[in-house]
Amino acid sequence: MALLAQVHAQSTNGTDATTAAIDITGAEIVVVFVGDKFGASLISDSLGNTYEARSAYVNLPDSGLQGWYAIAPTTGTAVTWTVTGDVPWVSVLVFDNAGAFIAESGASAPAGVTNLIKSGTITPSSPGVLYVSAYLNDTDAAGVAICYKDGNTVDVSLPPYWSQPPFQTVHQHLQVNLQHHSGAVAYAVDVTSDPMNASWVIPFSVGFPARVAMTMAFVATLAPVPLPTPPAPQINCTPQSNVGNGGKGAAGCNTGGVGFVPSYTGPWGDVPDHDDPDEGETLTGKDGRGVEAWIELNHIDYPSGDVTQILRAQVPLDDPSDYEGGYKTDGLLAIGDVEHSLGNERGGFEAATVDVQLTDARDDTFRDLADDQEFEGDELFVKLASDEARA
Amino acid sequence: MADVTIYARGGDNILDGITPTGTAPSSTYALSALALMQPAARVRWGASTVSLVFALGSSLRGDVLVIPAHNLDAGTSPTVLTLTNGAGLSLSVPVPADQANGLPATIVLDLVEAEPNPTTRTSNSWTLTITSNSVNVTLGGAIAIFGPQRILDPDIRWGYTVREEAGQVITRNDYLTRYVVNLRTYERSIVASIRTTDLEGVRAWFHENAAGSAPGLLWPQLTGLDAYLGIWEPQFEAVNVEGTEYYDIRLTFTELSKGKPI
Repeated sequence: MALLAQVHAQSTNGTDATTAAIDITGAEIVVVFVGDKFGASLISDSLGNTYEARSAYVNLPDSGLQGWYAIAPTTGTAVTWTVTGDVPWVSVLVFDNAGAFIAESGASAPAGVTNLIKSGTITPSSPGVLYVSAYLNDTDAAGVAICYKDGNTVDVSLPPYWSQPPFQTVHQHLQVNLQHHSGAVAYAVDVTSDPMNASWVIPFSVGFPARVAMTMAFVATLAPVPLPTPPAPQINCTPQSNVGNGGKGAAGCNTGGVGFVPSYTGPWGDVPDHDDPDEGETLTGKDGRGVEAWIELNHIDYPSGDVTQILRAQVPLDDPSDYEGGYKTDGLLAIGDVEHSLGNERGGFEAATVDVQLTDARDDTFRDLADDQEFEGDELFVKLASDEARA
Repeated sequence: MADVTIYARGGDNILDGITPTGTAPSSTYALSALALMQPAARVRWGASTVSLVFALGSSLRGDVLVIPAHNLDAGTSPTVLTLTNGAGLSLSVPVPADQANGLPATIVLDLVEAEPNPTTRTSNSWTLTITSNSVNVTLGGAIAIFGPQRILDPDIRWGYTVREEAGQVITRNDYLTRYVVNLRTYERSIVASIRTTDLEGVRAWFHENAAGSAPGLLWPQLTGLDAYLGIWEPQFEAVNVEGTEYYDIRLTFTELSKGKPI
């Protein structure tokens, strides 16, 4: 989360103030503070965005402070803000990260007691918080007020000393139209979820004026933390240089699909809708009896398109001619697992697979076909039935 | 010729490679399967009366008929099976009863004994006729007529081993419990030792078996042993009896599987 732009203005007529135009392209959060004598203000911008009003913190008679914000505003390249109040000043801070308002805190302190005011502790529920804090006192000048995290030691030796990490003071409003309500605005981004009490102090002798302070907190969307680079594989990764579309090379030699460019961007089409298979036979009362397995390969001849049914069993099966293609010669050696997948690693559909071992020693059927035919795309069935069902 | 062991080499089959003509089988079945010499193969008809004609390229003498797998009705005479040829042979062929495991016993007929006239047993046309079987006919993919008849001398019948193995899937767990699936197939073999001076003749039998691709015949003609259409196991070993011209030849002859019961 970063500050994209800021703009500040003071009233010159005692009733309102208008900022210069700024570019807020990319803005996700706009935070506005208005300081005046009574803390009752109205704001608008040139794009007509709606602002959420937060509390007004008032220390009468001359110290008032109110915060506003807009999430995901309409953006533009020349945006102005106008505020009305009692001799107001306005500070607009624009940030680039989408987020949400989570909490506010504010406080007032009477004159003559201390030069310190704490706006109050905010305890976020998640890390990555944007704090925007403002300060106003009843003097002619803010006296270079310093915003710091309560618990930290203020170090004024480092210029600009008014920025005390994690806070960065972005503007000081000095005497406004001869009125006694000077102020300052600062922000901080905390990647932790630690409690935060934004505190303001005037380190130099300008007296102890009446003052108010206010802080608003927004949760930020943290950038993803990149995973560490996997350890190098203990193998020769030379094939990685050939990886252009994933899925090639030794394990560990590519980064898991990085660089994959789909070659097809059209519609995926519809998955064929098959009817449920017919109910098979039951094995009730057939304990200890085997079932015969056979394969049915429907070979599609190229180029005629004629379909030839090839049946192979582990032992010749003299079935009636009208039963599942009739006679099944032997030649089937083994049938492996039938595997069905829901999808491959890219979400594409995968066909079921099965390994079938055949011997062609009897009649060279497959070797003869392979002379000028391909089996890819042929339909293969694996079927089983008991002797009783086949009779 | 009873009381002798009859054998045949693979090259003795006068029907070798001949696809018969005759009654058409059911669709998806082919008569060419009868020439495969694979008893487990099947040819099935939608009829109980079937005629098969084997047309030879020349007249050949047939001495032993062998049909290992069938579903023909058992009987002695007359039977449902008749063998005829173009030389006037006409024999009713006895059909043995099935084995207890449901597999058929091999039909085997010594034609020399049934028809001593060799001229009548010599023809270029042989016909098998099955008439009015009780069920539609199914035959295994092996029909052979061997000739000439060969007598194994000396006989093996004194001292031999008969082996059978059942086809099954058996899983035995750690408790020694057996889970058995009966595949309903069997393989039979005979193991014998032949002491003979005819090393060349026996070795030719082994050679013509062509490493098991050209099955021959072993028929001890003993009660409880039918004819085996089968093969030599692929090792041949003849040990000379020291100081003599005899050889002790270890014979392991395995019948080709008849497949499942018909």
